[in-house]
Amino acid sequence: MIELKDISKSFRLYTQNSAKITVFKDVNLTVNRGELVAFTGKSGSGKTTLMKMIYGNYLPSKGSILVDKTDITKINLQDLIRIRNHKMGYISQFLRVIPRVSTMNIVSDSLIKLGSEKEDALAQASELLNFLDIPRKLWNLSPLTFSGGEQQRINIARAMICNYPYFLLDEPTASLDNKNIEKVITLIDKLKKNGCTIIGIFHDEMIRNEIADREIDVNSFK
Amino acid sequence: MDELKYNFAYLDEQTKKTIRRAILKGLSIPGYQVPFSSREMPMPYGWGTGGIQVTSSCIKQDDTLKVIDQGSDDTTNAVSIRNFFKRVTNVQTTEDTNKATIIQTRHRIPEIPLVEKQILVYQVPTPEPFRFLEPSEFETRKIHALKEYGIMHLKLYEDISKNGHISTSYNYPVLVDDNYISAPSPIPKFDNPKMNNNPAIQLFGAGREQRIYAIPPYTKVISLDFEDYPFEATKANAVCQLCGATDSYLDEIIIDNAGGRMFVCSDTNYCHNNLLKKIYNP
Amino acid sequence: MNMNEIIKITNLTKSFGNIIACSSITLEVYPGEIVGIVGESGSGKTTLLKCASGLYKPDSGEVFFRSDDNYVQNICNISEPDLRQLMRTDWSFIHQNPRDGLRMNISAGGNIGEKLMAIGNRHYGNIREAAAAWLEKVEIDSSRIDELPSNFSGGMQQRLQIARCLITEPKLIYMDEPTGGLDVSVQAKILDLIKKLVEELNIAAVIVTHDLGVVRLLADRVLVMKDGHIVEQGITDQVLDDPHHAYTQLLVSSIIQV
Repeated sequence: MIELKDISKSFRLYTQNSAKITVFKDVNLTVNRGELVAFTGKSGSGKTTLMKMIYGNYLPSKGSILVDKTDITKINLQDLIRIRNHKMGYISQFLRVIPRVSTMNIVSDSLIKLGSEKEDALAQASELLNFLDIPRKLWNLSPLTFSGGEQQRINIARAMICNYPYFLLDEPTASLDNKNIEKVITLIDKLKKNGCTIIGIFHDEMIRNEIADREIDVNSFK
Repeated sequence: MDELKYNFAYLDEQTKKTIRRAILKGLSIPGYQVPFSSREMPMPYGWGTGGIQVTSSCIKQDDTLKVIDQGSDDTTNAVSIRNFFKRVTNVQTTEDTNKATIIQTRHRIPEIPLVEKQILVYQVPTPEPFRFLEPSEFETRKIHALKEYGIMHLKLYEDISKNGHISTSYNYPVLVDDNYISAPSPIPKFDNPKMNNNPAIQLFGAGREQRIYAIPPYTKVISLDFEDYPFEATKANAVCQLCGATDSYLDEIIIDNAGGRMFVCSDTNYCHNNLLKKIYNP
Repeated sequence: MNMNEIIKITNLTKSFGNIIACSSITLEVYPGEIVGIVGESGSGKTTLLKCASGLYKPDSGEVFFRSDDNYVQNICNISEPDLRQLMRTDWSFIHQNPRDGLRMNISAGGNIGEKLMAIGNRHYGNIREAAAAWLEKVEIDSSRIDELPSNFSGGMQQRLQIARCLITEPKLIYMDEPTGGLDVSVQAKILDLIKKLVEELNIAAVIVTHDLGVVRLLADRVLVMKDGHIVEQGITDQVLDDPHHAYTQLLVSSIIQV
């Protein structure tokens, strides 16, 4: 369960005349186990900011964020790192990897990091890459030269290969074609069936209708 | 007549005293390099000025001196030093290892085993075994103080990796009294085992580097090695063509312009004695 | 003394004359994490690293290090033999310039094997085998084991230095701009290598760099230093995505996008 209590967030931009921008005021929100909540709102409304606060990336100016009853705004960094490594997956629109590391290694490393055997991790990674239609001849190449859609699928693969109980999805399907969107939806459905708690941002209304249990317009938090 | 102007054994008594102190300190800490104020000697550095100063400080009127250079009693260096001491001390000299009480040597240990009450004085060019690995004296002292001796094995490692065996063949590093790593001076590694548990006193003098070190009688001296590449006291695989000895260190001598060569004992006294035995007990 | 951290620095201050290089720095590093220290030249990050590794003695403050057996030592008043022993076993220091960390007149194998010999390994075959295995690990062909480091490219030298440092499986490594002098294409390989080895051996690493890109890819946590102070710290993404201090914002906004 994820709970947001009285969350406010403002940015102070010192490099731009110390301008202060308030994004949210007093947000209260609960997302239950096995539920998929979709954030909506036009570009710049703060969907990503809210997601990043839940991931611990942005610190709220006020309020608390509970993940499994643990307030991630108050715990020490080591514990937060542990939660991120073992409980919570974040899939953004952008792939960020060390250059020149192969696709196969990027995807399997996620599992190895959690303690899986190498052979096992490689097998699971192959299965997932196959499922996501990444041509086998690309597996040993670095994804940085791939197309936007391929990069996005690899980003999904490297996170979803781990069975995290929480997922934050920031437009994971933005540059995918319909066939691949269907595949990603299948993966998300599977996560939900396993009791995974998910918050997502999807521009495509069709996708939202298909998988979201609830839609929340973040403009209502202003 | 001129000789009378010199003090006994050339050096003045004060200097001899300070050198004796350094020797005693060296004997108390086997293998430790004791700094001393090396004097100008009437010969250039590299001729054994360190060894001569040590000998000068030890020698007494009733001593019998033997001087060898590469095992030989009659090379220029040996003859010069022997004559020098004859002039400034008037002590007896000998070529016979058994009769000598002090033996000054360059690059060899005599084949005939030494006995108690004999002193073997080595002439040492580079007393610091780590010098070629670590040029800084500050650092090498630290290496000894903290016993960070791993890099000596690094040198042996490089030997094996380049040549398939430990190719260091002279000045082969030793561990003295399980404590200090020392340079045995450029003796062939064939002689290294003779240093171990030797009844004689072994003194080392380095004139240019101003260091004295010592190995007391019956001290453990181990040549460094690897478990799988043990130390080997190697020599040329031949017999002495003069005396027929198979157990002594051999020199290879070119004897004509056609490339002819022969192996002979490096220790001339040992070879000579063998020949005498052959003549009298054929 | 009980502590979970592998290294714990409390209230460390170090000045050179009138210049305060580090002012009341407090920092903990836990096993298995990579901590990045960023800041401009002269911000005190290298001084902090040198104090933490015992190369400098701080004016005040403490540096505690915990060994495997939970034995805690204060690095500020440790004896030199103990410090050098730590450097050979539990710690390693990876220099920016591989020439500072390698023996240039000793073969690659000798360079890697030296620490093993230093801690008493006396079996040539085993040492050589370990050195060859580590060469492969850092992606240098083991057939080059007998070559001198000067035959290697800058990136290979850096990888050789990493192998030399990690062969005794230290618990903590300090890195000062480990990819600083390298070509960007080589840099990526080194970063990947460091990350993998740190994860594989569960090493704690402290990495000093001015390159935010390196920190983003490598570090779990980051500290931002300015004028001898830690002005901001947190999880790397946190600090880089939502910087709170004016200086960090300037730093982040100054990254050149490609």
